Amino acid sequence: MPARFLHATIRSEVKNTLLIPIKYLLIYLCVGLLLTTVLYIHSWISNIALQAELSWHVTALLRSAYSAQLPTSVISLVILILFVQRRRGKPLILFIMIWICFSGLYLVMLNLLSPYSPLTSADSLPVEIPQRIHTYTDGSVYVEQDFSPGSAAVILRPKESPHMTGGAIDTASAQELSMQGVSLKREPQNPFFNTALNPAGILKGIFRDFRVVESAFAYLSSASPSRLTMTIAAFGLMMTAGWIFGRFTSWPLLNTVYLLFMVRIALLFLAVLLHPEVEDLVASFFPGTDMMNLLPYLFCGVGGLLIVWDLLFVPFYRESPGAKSV
Amino acid sequence: MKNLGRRLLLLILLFNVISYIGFLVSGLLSFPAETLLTIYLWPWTLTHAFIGMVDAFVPVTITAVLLGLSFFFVPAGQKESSLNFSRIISSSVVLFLFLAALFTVLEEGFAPGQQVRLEEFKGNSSFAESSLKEGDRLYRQHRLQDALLYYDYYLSIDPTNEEVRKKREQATASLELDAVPEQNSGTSAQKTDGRLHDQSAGDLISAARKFLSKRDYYSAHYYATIASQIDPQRDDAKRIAAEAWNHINEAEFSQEATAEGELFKRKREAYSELNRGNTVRAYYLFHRLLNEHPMDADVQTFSKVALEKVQEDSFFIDELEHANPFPGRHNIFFVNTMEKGLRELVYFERFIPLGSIAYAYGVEIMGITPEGTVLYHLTAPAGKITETSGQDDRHPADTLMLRAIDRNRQGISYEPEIIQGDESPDLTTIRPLTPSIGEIPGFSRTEASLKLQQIYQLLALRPGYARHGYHPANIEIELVMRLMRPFSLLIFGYLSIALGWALRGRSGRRWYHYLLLPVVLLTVFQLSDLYLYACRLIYLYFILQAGFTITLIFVILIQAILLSFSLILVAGQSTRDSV
Repeated sequence: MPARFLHATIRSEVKNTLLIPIKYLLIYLCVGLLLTTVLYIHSWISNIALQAELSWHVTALLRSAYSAQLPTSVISLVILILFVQRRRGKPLILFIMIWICFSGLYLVMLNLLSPYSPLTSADSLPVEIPQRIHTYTDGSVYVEQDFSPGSAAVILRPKESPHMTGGAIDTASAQELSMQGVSLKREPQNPFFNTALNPAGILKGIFRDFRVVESAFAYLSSASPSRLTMTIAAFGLMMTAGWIFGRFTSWPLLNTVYLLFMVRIALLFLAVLLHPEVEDLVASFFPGTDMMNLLPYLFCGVGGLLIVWDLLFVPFYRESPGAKSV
Repeated sequence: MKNLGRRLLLLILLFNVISYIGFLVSGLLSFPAETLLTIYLWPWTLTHAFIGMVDAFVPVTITAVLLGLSFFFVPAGQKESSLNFSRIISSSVVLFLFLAALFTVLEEGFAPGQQVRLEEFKGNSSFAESSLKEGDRLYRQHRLQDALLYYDYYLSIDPTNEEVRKKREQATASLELDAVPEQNSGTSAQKTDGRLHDQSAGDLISAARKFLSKRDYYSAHYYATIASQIDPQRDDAKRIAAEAWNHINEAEFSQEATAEGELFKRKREAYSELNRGNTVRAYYLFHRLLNEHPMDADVQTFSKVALEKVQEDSFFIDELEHANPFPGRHNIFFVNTMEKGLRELVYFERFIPLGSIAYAYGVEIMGITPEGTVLYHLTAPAGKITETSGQDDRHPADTLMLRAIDRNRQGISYEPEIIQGDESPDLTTIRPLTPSIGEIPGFSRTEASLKLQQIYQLLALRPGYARHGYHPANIEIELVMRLMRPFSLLIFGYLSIALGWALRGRSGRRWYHYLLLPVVLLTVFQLSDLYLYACRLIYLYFILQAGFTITLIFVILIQAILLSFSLILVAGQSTRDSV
């Protein structure tokens, strides 16, 4: 190859490699902003009846930002990997740059937001709006003022006869209310915007898995910063090594889908491992073993396997027609 | 390989047909047999498949375009390549505009009606089940006439159920048996006859004299005849019989003269009842007169008047039977009145609108003070709603009648039952309703009931929604999402062109790639759900914070930006592989 072409190629590769942190940061900011906004809005709507001060909103925003860190990191990683596939560069350096960006930025953000905790479903309060019909699964309630004892209300239960019971509320908790011997469960907690707040089945599973994994990292963050660093670094290694799925076949669209599935499977696998029953099962075979301590080794193991597979079987470039295709 | 637009359209249609078949199969496998009657298996499955296909139209179409451009069409650089990008753009832009229009027609024109059908199947099955339970309960209590009504309700929904048909026949047979003792009066008369022959002639003659003095000539003649048969020597028996017979003959001769007097008396009685306000009794009197004297001018005139008067506060039971087959809504619950000192709540188990009138089944009404004192609580098996001219808050839009009477038989009626409170019986038969007939279906507490309404119905429902106890944001977000979806098809359609082209296969198709195609569809579905979920949250926030109008402007702005972005992405694609 002529020298000037070689020089241009090397310059291009260096430029692409050096631009990775900037690209990653830009993608991270855009995705992070969007996800934080959506999570904050979800939290606000869940507590719509709350007469909140500015401090509540600021706290909710920061907690939403915390909850958004893991999905933001993962989504940004996927987008960056897709960008990287279309550029030239030294694979090893690219890999290290992506790994450092992913793990480093995630760790920094977790430490910055450590005074706060991620949002959970327990944070939302039952919604009560005066002079409105609250529609629950088993019935409806019209309430004059609120759900406090003595407040005028009418309970409707379509499966009973007569359907309506009216009077003053006897007792009311977050889960149930009762009046004149008739009780009704307050499910869902927000009877007004249930469709907006509760996603479809598959999405619910994805959000749940994200919450489980980020709760585990939040726990580590408060328990031991060194363990957190090790775990995040190992997690980053595994996720970055998953970039081989972006080069698995000669069909880029399918590779994109593979990448997304890799992320989904990784989260699902983690959520299953962190399930209390699985932890008990592991503890029964290996007494005294804490799953959180095992995680870094697991991540490193899986990441290592993927790297070996990458080195042995999956070519980095597929542009030439003679390239090996899977 | 010439007309790429047509090939793309065919591919999209093929994918949607496969989607329909997929939903059909899933519907057959997941038919909710516990909650639906088996007669609804195929209607429900076909309707469910159509709704599923419309709901999935956007992600399926996007998948078709993605796969078409990145997989199915021959990759560039090979023989017979059809991927000329400039030709893709020109045909695809028009194609997607057509698809957006088609999707709008399907989503707004057909899908809500089909959703109503699904709800109707569920509601009818529930109604049939509760009718059967009620019918069985009444049968056990030997209230056969009432039980028949509920069995008829069930059979009007599921006429193929032999078990219920047999129950109905048993109830009818039992009812007929109960009526037989009245017919056996002839037999008892024969027994009486036998008993009369056991008495002495003197006793019978005494009885005959008494009947004669009371002008009961037929009985007098009868007793005297038997006395004569017992003792033929008794001339007084023959004399009484002859006298009674003479009187009977005189009555027959003057029958014509007395007939008019009788008619006059009856007309006068019916008319008096009408004047006194006993409209139901007057109606039945005139109804009988009309059957017997259809040509009488007075009877014709006043029977119409009586009918109009009775229809002011009652309706006929057979109207309910005629309305039953029509589709309706279930579990309607709303605040009817919110005044100082009174909150009135109304519940309909089932509601069938028929233009300017409607019928409600399983009616329950409660009035309560803001302090929690129940002023009144009443129920009625059915009600009829008619529109009045008033449309503002002070004048109710509709009138609810709670009394139903039989058109021909007096004594059969459905009246409201007062469970609690001191409501005057006269006031319970007519209730004013503030929402209009068109608004009432929107107050169904059935999940996702707003999906059953079309856009113009949602717009009509919006102003009064809060007044009747519901949060207006629910309607507004539904409107926004409906308006947004055709734009989503355009935006993601162009985006899928850009992505499909950018991510197209480099080195030809492999056999296992075909096995992995559903994976692409699944991913697109999830991403599409995620996008819609995020949009719903964001737009709902804007509605709650800034109001409906500002949100609409915001939505249009965002859709315009996203559309521009997708077109820019399309324009920015490389055309190196043009043939």
